[in-house]
Amino acid sequence: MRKLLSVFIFYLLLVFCACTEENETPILVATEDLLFVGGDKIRISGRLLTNREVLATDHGFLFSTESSFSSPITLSLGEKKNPGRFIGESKGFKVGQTYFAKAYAEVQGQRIEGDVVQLQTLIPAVETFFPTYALQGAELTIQGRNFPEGGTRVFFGNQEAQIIQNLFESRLIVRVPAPAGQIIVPLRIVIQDKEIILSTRFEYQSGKFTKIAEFPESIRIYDNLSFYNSAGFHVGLGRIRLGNPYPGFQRFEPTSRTWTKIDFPGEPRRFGFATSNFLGGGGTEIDREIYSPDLSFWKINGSDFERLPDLPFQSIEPLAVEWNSNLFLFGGRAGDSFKVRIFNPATQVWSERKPAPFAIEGNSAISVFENKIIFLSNTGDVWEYLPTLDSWNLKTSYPGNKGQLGFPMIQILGKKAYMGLFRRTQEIWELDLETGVWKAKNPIIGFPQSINAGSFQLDGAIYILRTAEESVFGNLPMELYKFDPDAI
Amino acid sequence: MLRRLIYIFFFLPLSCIDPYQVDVPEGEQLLTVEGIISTGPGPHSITLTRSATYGSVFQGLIRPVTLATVVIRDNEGNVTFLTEGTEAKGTYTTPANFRAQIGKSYTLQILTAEGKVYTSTPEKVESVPEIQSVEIRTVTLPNKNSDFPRSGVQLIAEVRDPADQNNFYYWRNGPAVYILETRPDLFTPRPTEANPNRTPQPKACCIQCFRYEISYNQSLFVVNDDNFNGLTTRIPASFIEDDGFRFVNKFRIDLKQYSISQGAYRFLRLVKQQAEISGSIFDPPPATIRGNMISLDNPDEVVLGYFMAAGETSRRIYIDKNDLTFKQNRAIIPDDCRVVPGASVDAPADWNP
Repeated sequence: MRKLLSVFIFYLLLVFCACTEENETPILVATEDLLFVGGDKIRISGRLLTNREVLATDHGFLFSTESSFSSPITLSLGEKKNPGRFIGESKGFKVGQTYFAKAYAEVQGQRIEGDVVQLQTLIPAVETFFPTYALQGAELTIQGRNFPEGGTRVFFGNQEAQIIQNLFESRLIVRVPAPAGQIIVPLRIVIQDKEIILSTRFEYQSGKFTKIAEFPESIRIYDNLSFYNSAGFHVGLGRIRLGNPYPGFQRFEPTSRTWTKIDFPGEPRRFGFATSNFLGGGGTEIDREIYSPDLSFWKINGSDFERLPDLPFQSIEPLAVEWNSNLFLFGGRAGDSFKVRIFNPATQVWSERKPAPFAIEGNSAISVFENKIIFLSNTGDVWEYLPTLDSWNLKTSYPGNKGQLGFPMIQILGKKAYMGLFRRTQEIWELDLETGVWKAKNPIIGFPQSINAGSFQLDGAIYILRTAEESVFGNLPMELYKFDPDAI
Repeated sequence: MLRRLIYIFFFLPLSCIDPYQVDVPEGEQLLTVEGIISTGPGPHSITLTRSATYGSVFQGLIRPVTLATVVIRDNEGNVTFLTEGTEAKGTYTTPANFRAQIGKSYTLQILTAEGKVYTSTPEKVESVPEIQSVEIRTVTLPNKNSDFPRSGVQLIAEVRDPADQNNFYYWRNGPAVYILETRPDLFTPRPTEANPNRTPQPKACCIQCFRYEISYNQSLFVVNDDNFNGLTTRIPASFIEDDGFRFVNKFRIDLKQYSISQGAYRFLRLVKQQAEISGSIFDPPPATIRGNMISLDNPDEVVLGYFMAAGETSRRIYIDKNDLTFKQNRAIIPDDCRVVPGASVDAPADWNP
């Protein structure tokens, strides 16, 4: 009985010892999605598929220009310890080229490969760039598509620019290189063996200031007069810094760049007016901010002065301009801010026009363009006055820094007005008087806390006399600058 | 006998209880991407948030992901930059003139402020057939809190499905406008020192306004054409609940029909299943639903949500109060209708019932 029981137990054990055959599921590699195809970059995902532990000694992707994958480009991602997704990214492909790609994995010495996918790298293109007008060193953005992160070069003419950022292969931010003498240059983008030349050209911010002279006697004068005529640029009257009135003029001759002292037969004065052919008004300060008006009125002949009948009114710090041989006086102190007066030299008669729409004093600037008189107010408004119609028009507003207390300058060359240099600013802007488009010009050099003491134009250049503010101490002579708007 | 009892008594207090330490993984704040671009008029928006962490209870808040650079790139390499809303933080919108184009594939790419890069898998835009017609059906729903049932309008879209392509449909409600009627004659101000007894102060204006709203569906309306490929069929596409205001006079809505990708359909269907779990034993088990966003820095990072690109068509319908077979009791606002947010006395320029 015991033997039978032993045999039964033995057979029972055999029953539970049935052999199981190991059945391993296959390991697969799948080439999944083309996540990104750019100009020279491909990003692709693959997957190692199995339901058991796996160690791939290497995995990655193969790329080739031929479907047979002869001499492929291998993107190795190294060892992979678990099944699942893997992503590879490779650069340096040729733009506009057809490639074949597939995922692979090395498992137990055997290479497993996924399906082959075909792709074509994209061709770069440029849509636009901005700004089209900027200073050297500024950042410029080029918008387009498929700019390779490596191998993209940008040229301004022949000057190569530094690429600061290539954002999503669609936005290149570059630093404008130094100009090579030309203001307007073509923008070229070189990618691999392709060159893209943009139809719109880039324009460098221009404007060159050159210091050409200093005011004689190493003095600074304020509240002075200045005018330019065939004899030269005359600066004078007013008063010497913290001192006495300046009794005469200094004449600058641009060709010889020399100063000549000119005597003035009248009394010294401050805040008068002067044009190429007329001078007058102003006064002498008898107490703080109280002036004894000077009614004398003079005709200027070169550097000579001929006295005319006195002014029939006081005129302190007006803006004066000649238009159509008549002298126009705009505004002034002591209740004259809105007055518009005209002197006809032929009849020697003064008359008045409609009041100006804004208060005008010496802290604004004035110039003439064709049949208009252009004003730049101390607040930056640009007004047009049409003498024939006696009408005013607010044209635009100065876009730059308006400083603290006005006192800008304005000169017109051709169809373009150059204005700015408000007190304590160094900005100067160009206004196209036909299109109304503003362009910033290169800022003036020299002492920053300077104000304008006079300006004139000659042979396509603007000359500006600058003086340090009266409150600034030190040996800072008045400086005359030549401004060439189109030079760099 | 006594000795045996002593032995048994001796073993009784020796049972030990070891505390079981459960290591709960710290909850992650996962990036969540939600958005759809379509062939419809822009702008289209993508919303980025970080999910709240959770353990035994939810902790923290769902926070918008701000200051990210978000772009949409098509298969030709054209990149559209999205701008973050100044008020709607974490919501990035395309330029108003942006529209997806049929046949193109789009990917969403995100560069977060921390420098992490995410991308979606490409989503191809398929064409979508027009909505042939929209039928209105009044639906009542049981109300747990009252014997009076909830109700609303179900929109049934008639679609002529093209036979030559596998279509996946998704419907959403577009902007809605309805005539809001209030009772300014019943206006009673809040008690103040000047009027402590809340003496009624009837207002002369205004009884009728046009109220603008976006009425979101509480369910997802998605379907594929396996059962009606190439046929004309009618499918529930939206449900608009009657809140006592909407169907007092006239209601207008733009029903939008999208043709989404198979992956997007699968994602939405799983979301719908999870959202409609009722607690029964036949419910699918809750699980993380993988979207189509991938972290390029860590492909194993879980990113929630789905970026969709779809063809879009829209149909405008006007619903009159008489179209409903069952209505909720009319709700009363005892004030000028203009005080209601989104209400204006001016009719929309294209109001044409």
